[in-house]
Amino acid sequence: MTDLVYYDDTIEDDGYAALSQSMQYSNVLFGDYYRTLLGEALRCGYFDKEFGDASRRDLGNALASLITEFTGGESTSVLQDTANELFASILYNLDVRLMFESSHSKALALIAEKDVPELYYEGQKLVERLVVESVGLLVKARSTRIAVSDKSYDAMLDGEIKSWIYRYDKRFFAHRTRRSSGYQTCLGCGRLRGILYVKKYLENLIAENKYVNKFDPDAIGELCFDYALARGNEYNNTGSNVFSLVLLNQTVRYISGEEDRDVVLRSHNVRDAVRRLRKLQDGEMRSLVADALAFITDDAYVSKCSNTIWRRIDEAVKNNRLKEIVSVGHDNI
Amino acid sequence: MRSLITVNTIPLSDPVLLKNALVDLNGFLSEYGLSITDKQIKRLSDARVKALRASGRIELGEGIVPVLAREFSSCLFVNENNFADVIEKLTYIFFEVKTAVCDRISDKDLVRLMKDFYENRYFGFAGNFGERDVDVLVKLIELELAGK
Repeated sequence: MTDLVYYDDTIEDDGYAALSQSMQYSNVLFGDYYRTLLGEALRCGYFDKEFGDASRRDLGNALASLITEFTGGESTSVLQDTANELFASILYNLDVRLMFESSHSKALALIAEKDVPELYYEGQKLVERLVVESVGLLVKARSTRIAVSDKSYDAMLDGEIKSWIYRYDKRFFAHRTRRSSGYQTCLGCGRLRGILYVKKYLENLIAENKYVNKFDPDAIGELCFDYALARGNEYNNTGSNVFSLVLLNQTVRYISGEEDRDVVLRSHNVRDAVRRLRKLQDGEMRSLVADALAFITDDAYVSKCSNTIWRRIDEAVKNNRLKEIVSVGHDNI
Repeated sequence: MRSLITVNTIPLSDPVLLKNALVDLNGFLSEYGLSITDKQIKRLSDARVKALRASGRIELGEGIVPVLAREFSSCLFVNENNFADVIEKLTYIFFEVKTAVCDRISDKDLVRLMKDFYENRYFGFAGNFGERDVDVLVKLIELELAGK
């Protein structure tokens, strides 16, 4: 078993098409991996009807056992909604197991090799492992926290995530996602659900902490303070992602013609950047942002954020709001 | 796009298991002068499907019908003529109540409560079963749960 491969763009298509020419990649959804992969394999004849019936029967047995466990053996029936949720939990465990394979063809081979109970058991073990890993990541995220007090960042790191992991029901509702309500990371977590979402969120957060911590805490503190006040918020409430704020400031500074890695922006920087950006087409603006980020850092996480940063700048320029998405310092200082 | 496996496409409640359980129960029922015919078994099996659908539930294995038949066989208001009708109506009421109280009561406790309710309310007379009974039973359960 290899490491978890749960990012949509990293499960490669090796040999998948060769299995059957009629299989369509677009029919396989990562948010519903086992079912859609099996469904597609059945549709194009990679598995026969008998195999499909056996899988259905095995899933039924797994669901019946889980319902009995859920009701403590005290009820022979449950609400349809409850049954759907429990079924989604079983499928989630199967999805996690298959996502540890590095390609669709390997995942299909695994479905052919192992029956549902075996895959389900292995999926449960992996989910348990992911919970432990997430706890480790939370500890790391807290120990590398940014040295600036931000209300939603602190609330998320000190309470929200811990509470989420503590309350995570890996048995009956493993698929449930309680997304961070107050503090979003710059790079999203795609369509990940359950513990996969939490793990990805924490990985993003650690990458953002690492980047922001490279700067002088006083400079970051001032940047957040100015941004919060400009929005009429409390001094410690930016209401935004701190990492994005730093990156946007650096990018706009670079675009304004200041070829350094500083985070400080003045009004004239924003004016110069707007003037330059307005002359560019979408494609040009996109590559300028990518160039800016490449100049600023070679951090892998930052380069993945290129599209997000470009979209925010593009939208802000079109709506004449660039000044509102960055933190502009006092010109007289 | 292809059809995916869903809860609705998985046969969780087995009509054969229900049939076998009710056939096996006939020996026990005969002690009370009761029996269930094949035709009645078919009717009860269909009633279970309709009742589950109406109350938005799914059931495992043979389900609650044989339990209701066994428990209510000793009631004074059932006889050879109305037994299957009574069990059919009780099946609807059982699932309705179970859904209305969001599964906060076990099968065993609900059957016990229903038996007490019907024995004390009808005093051996097979009265009308209806929607109002569901409301009363739900209120009784709420009171019992609140008292715990």
